[in-house]
Amino acid sequence: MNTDAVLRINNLHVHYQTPQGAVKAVDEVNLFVGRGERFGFVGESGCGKTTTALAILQMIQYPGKIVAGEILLEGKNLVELNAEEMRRTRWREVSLIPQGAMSSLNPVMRIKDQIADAILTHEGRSARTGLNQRIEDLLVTVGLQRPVAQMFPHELSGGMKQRVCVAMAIALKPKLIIADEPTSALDVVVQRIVTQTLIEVQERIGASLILIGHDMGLQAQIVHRLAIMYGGHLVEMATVKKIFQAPQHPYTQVLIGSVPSPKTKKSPFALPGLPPALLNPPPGCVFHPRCAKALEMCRTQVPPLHEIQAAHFVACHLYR
Amino acid sequence: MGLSVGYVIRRIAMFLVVIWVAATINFIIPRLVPGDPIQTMLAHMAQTERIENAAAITQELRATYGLDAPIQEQYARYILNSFRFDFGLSLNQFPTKVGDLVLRAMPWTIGLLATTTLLSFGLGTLMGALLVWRGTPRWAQVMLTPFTFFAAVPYFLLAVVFLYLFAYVWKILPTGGVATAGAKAEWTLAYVGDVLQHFILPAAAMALAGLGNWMLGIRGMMVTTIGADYLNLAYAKGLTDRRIFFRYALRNAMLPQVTSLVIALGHIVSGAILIEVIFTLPGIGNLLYRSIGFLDYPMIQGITFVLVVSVAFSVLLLDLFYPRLDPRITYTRK
Repeated sequence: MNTDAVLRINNLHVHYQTPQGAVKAVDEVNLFVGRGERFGFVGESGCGKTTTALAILQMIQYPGKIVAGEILLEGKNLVELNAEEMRRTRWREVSLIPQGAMSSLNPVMRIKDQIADAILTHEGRSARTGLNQRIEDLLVTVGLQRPVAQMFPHELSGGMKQRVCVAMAIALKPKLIIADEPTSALDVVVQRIVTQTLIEVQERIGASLILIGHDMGLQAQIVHRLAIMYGGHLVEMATVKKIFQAPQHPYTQVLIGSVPSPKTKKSPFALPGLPPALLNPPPGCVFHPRCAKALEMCRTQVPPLHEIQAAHFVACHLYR
Repeated sequence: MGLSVGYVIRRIAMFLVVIWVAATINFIIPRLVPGDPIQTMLAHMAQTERIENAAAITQELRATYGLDAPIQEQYARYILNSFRFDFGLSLNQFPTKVGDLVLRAMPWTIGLLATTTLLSFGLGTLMGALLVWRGTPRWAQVMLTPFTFFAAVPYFLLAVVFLYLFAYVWKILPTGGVATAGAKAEWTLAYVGDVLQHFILPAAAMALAGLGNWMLGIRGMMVTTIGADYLNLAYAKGLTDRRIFFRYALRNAMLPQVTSLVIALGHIVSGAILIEVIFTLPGIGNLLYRSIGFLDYPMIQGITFVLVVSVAFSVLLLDLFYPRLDPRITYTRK
């Protein structure tokens, strides 16, 4: 196991309390992200990808709550920090590229003021000297022009806003950047350019990157390692190469099989059934009702995440 | 920013048109109403003294008020005078000029209403926003909630209740007027203090009654704003709660409130008639109230006109100022 982990999540459980009971949005998640590594989170809607990301930032909103587990950022357990300590940690150590870049910028503030806000809050007044120059340089880094600093969000295109968000995310040179489906609202051409920019700046500042998304093709091009989530559980985690060449978990296999291929021209396989209701998840393996290879024990016992080969983790009874 | 010279000119022209229309309506309406104010004046005079040469006096009065000229000439003169704020002489307090009476009443009304409107806007907006802000302590939210109740209470009812409690039962504040009877109006500390004391009750009633409305107004907007993506990102940026509240949440939620505030400020010249009547304040509201009772047309017209101008002017200022508040609003043609 990689010992130089920037982020290590141990045994994370996040529940949303509802009148009908607890919704287990994230259940027993264990993972680590290495220094400078690009780590992908894949899974269908509601599988707990974004909730895990929000848990890292300690931004789970009521009625959600981290009920167990630790999130170690360079050894510091974020779950135990108080509100003020966590506030200081946000952005300086972990930044976020939000899901909806279109609406994530304050409509009545100039771009430079929004970036300055983050810098001044964390670095204090001393950062004021040369601040404008610094902000413009940041914008240039992500491929924008200097005058953009003076503009308002409504004067920018979607791709430009996303770049502003990237620029903002690297402003304080954090150790970890969480990109939550950063390009899902963009067309494929802009998507490609923005991701390229993202990788460039991430490598330049040497940060680790968590990329959340459901676009397997996009993930394959960007990340080093992938984690597949299903129903709040992490079901498989390995390098991109292994996941694509030799997926082990039945769900991963279906997921890979569903990527359409122009060579075979056969229609991609679609998994029957629906994702589980997390309020009352099926007992045992959460995937077993839809799994073609389910064993008897899958109905009763939850399979733990298990290292079946070096750095290839699978949570499935087939590989015990 | 956001304004072109062409727009400003068009907007000001529009303002002048509104005023011209108001003046025209002012001119037409009394001429459609049955009854002759000159005869009414004579009748009033006749109650106190013997009128010998009624026809001559009528003739003279008609000339004084310009009613003997042809209608077109009357209209032209009227519009011209309107733009000079000259509405002739009051019928009720003959022969004082309408303009002078309005000017004398104006400071009291503006002093009371501008203060209370701004006060209840500021407090109400802040309190309403805190009501739904998640950083607000629970006890504070519980304390703030009852104030929204005042949105349903008319100010004159509050005024009567305050009057009863503070002036009648406990006798700690005066019942009305702007100063103690016989006090000399001058810029001394004693006199100013005396006036302020007289303003406490009407101001409290007005401010408190307005508070609830501002609170409810901002609350709805605030809930929408709190759910916005940019607020989430502001949290992720690790900004202080205070900064997020003021710069990201309140700043955006307030925009529609500002429109209401400007319109409310435009309306203050007409005064809150009932508050001035209840507390016998010599403001515009009271003046208007008495003028209506006496069919004092020039007075009514003068006050109406001042009201129209002040509302139109406030809205004009708002239109010119709004692009500054919300950069998404722009009047430049692209």
